[in-house]
Parts: sequence; C-alpha cells; structure tokens
Amino acid sequence: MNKGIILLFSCLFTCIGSVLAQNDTIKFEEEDFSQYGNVEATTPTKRFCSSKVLGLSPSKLISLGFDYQGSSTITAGGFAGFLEEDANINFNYGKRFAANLPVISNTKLLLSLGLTWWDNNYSFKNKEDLKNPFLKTLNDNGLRTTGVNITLFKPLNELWYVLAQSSFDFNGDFRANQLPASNQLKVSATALAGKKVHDRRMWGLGISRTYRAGEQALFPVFLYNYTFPNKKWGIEALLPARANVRYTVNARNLIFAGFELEGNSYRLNNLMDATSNLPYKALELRRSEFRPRITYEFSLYKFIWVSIQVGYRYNFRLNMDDGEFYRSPGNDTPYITTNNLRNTLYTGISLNLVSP
Amino acid sequence: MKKINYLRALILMASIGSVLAFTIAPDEPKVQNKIIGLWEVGSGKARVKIVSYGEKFAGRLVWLKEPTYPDGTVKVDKNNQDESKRTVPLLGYTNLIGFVDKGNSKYEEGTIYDPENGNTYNCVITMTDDNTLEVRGYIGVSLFGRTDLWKRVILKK
Repeated sequence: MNKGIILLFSCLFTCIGSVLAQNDTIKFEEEDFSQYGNVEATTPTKRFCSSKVLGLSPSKLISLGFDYQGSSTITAGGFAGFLEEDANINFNYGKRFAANLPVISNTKLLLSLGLTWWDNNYSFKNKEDLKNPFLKTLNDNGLRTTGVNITLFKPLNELWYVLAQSSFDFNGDFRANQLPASNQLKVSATALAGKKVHDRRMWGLGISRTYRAGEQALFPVFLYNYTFPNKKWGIEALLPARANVRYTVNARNLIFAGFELEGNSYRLNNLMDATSNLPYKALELRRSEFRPRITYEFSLYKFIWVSIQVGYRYNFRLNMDDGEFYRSPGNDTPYITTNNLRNTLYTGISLNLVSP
Repeated sequence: MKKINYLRALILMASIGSVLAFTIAPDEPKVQNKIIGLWEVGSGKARVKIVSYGEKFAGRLVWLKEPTYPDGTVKVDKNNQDESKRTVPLLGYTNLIGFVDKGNSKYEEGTIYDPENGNTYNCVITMTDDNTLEVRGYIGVSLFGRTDLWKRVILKK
C-alpha cells in the first residue's frame, strides 16, 4: 500500500512537471476589442451551470494524509461476562488515502469514481494488561475503511442541477494485510437537487442514507456554497456532514474554520473470532466523532496542495450493537455495550493533487 | 553576343522565379484552418480569438462579460505566479498557445491558462463540428482534466 502510494505520487510529480513550458511568443495585431461585444452565435447554444462557485476551494483528485489524535482515556463497557475496563491511550494515528477520478467531466455531465483507504490505530499504555476484548481488538487490529464511491453531477440548465453520490465501503477491524469480508460492506447514498443562483452562490436540498452518526440513518442534507462579493470570504457546507467558513488569503492560500461529523459502523469480525461463545450474531461498532477544526491549505507546487488541520475530537458515539440493523425512530433496542472515549486534540496533514 | 544571351536567360529566370514566388510562397495557407476564428467559452463569460502563427495556433481573450472589478478598474491577471505579470490586463491576454494541428480535427501540444487560479494546464482541443470545440485542460495525463465546450460566434454585420 505504502509503496503504491509513493509510486503514485512520484508519477504525479512527473506528470505535473510535464505541463509544457510554452516559450513561444506571439505578437497579436492591435485591434479594437469593443467590436467583439457585438456577435451572433452560429448555432443555438444551451448553457449549463457548473458544479463550483467562484473562489471555491479546489477539489482533491488524489489525497494522501495522516491523522494523529492526542492522548485520551477510554472506558470500555462490560459485555458477555467481560468486565468494564478503563484504559489509557497514548495516541491514535492513521493513514488516509482518497482518489477521486473524473471519468466524465464536461459542461453537461460530471461523473467521478473514487477510492478510499482510511485506518485508525490505537496505541495503548500498558497494552499487555488489557483484558476487555474490545480494547484488545482496537490495540491489535485498529479500525479500517476501504471502498469505492461514485459521484454524479448533472446540470439541467443554467440554474438547476441534480447531484447523486453513493459509496460502497468495507468497515471493520480487519488488518492492513487482511482482505475485508463481505459482511463488512456498508452502502451510503446521497441525492439532492439544487440551484446555482449566480456565480458565487449555489444551494441544494436532498436526502442521505449515511453512517456518519455511527449507525445507519436517514438525514435531510443541505448544500450551500457561497463566496461573498469581496471574494475574500466564503462558506462551504454540506450539512450535517461538514461546514466551513473560508478565508482566501490569495488564490494559493486558504484558511478554513468549521467542523466535520465523521463516523461509520464497523463489523468486528476479528473480535468475534478471537472471543469464543459470544451470544451474538455479529458485533457492530457504531463510531461517530464531531470534529471542530481550523484548516490551512496552500499550493506547494503547481497542482500539489498541502492541507494542515488542527482541531478537537469530540466523541459522539462508540457503542456496540448485535449485528447491523436500522434503529428507526421508536426502536429502542439497547446497545450490547456503550464505551466512553474521552475527547482530545487532533491534527492532520495531507498532500493533495487538485483538479483543474 | 554570348554575353547578351546569358543576360537574357538570367532576366528570364529571375522573372519566372518572381512569378513562382508570388504564386506558391506566401505564408497564408490556401484554405484557412477551421479552428481560426472567434469562440465563446462554455459559461458565456469570455470570448477567445484563435489565430495561427507559423505552423501553430494561439488564442487570446478579446471579450469579457465582466471586464472590470466592482470599483470600475480593469481586470488584471492578479493570480499569475509571475509577480511581474499581475498588472497585465486580462483583456487581450494570450490564454492558449502552442497548438499543433494533428489532423482528425485534433489540436495538441498546447497549453491553456486559467486566470482564475493562475495555473497553466496541458490542453487538447477537438473540433467536434465546424462550430464547436471541446477544450480539455488537464494535469499530466488526460484523466485528470476537465472539458469545456466552446461555440463559434461571428461578428454582427
């Protein structure tokens, strides 16, 4: 995985370096530009709105990052005869790789395919003393997410558009050298319709089936991208997943303040296998974190951008269920166990290839 | 006598040469390349005039829907990575350069400049019909790119 990523970025640097340096000089004749305001089309033209507003931060085609969370403590709830246990975590860390490749990208349609690899590893103090099997699987295996996603942006005309996104992710306590199992697959989807009011404002309203709150849920979603007339300030939001206020220092330096709701449901097969005679069908960890943060993004070299993030990891949910199900309103099925992960500071850095 | 004949032959050859030179030597191609002309970008906010230079093609911004900032000053290339170019007006700016006609309505080896972020991209232009250009700017490989459709416009008489 690591070698592949390094190779990939080496190739990208080579590709970027190959953007042709045009040393041609051309002398245009003097002319009156005002004549070009009075033209007629040769064919009827239907225009379509674009997926971006002026000043929007560049979208990331390929991103390779590292997430580090500071020390904290966790209280793992008792279950199936195992006792509640407190443990100290030195730190959490994990790689984050994402690719988002535009398969079709033109004025009438934008279709992109994505790949994701995220892991979250736990470094415990006194790890040899851990007894609770949940803490042991966090220590031994960590949590991982890998999958593919597809995004479609279809402008209907100059004002209106629809956007659909779906992801197929394997989430679980499988190790980096282990293949995920089919029962670790989770499907998320979002569909929304919206309006690009003008060059600096667009909004959208829709619905999302998501695991960001840790377990399967249906949320209304609201997209809002806006750049103020001074072009220095802006808002980039896809609620409830994330929202940012953007300050544009210049076209190559951006600062954001905002939050992200980050979460997933993980099938803990390794924990199930390591602990015999558990009276459950399957173990499903519902993890969700609220992360208020400040981000600085800048262009390192041409289309290679660096993103540096500092924030607070607020644990919203880290509970275990017996198998995957939808906890609908009114369904008060209790968790097998609830775990209490204390909050801490976190930081993240990523290297990104950004889109034209 | 021989000297006079030699002189006549020299004059005759020079005359024929001059006529031939005027007949076959001008730089102007006999049939103007179809990409040459005035094009409106997909958003309708700019028009680009494409011309030939030598064997290549280039284009420059000749019209902007919003040519000035809200305070009335002329828009300049303020995002250019070369600080010395940040005061150059966008109107008249060369944003396409280096394109070579590769046949099959494809123009390659050129670059396109995006004044909104100051980046220059590799670019391939495909003429899908006489009045439509598919302009694809990309980074390194064509997969990492975006295509804009440009339509031909003509000056009103």
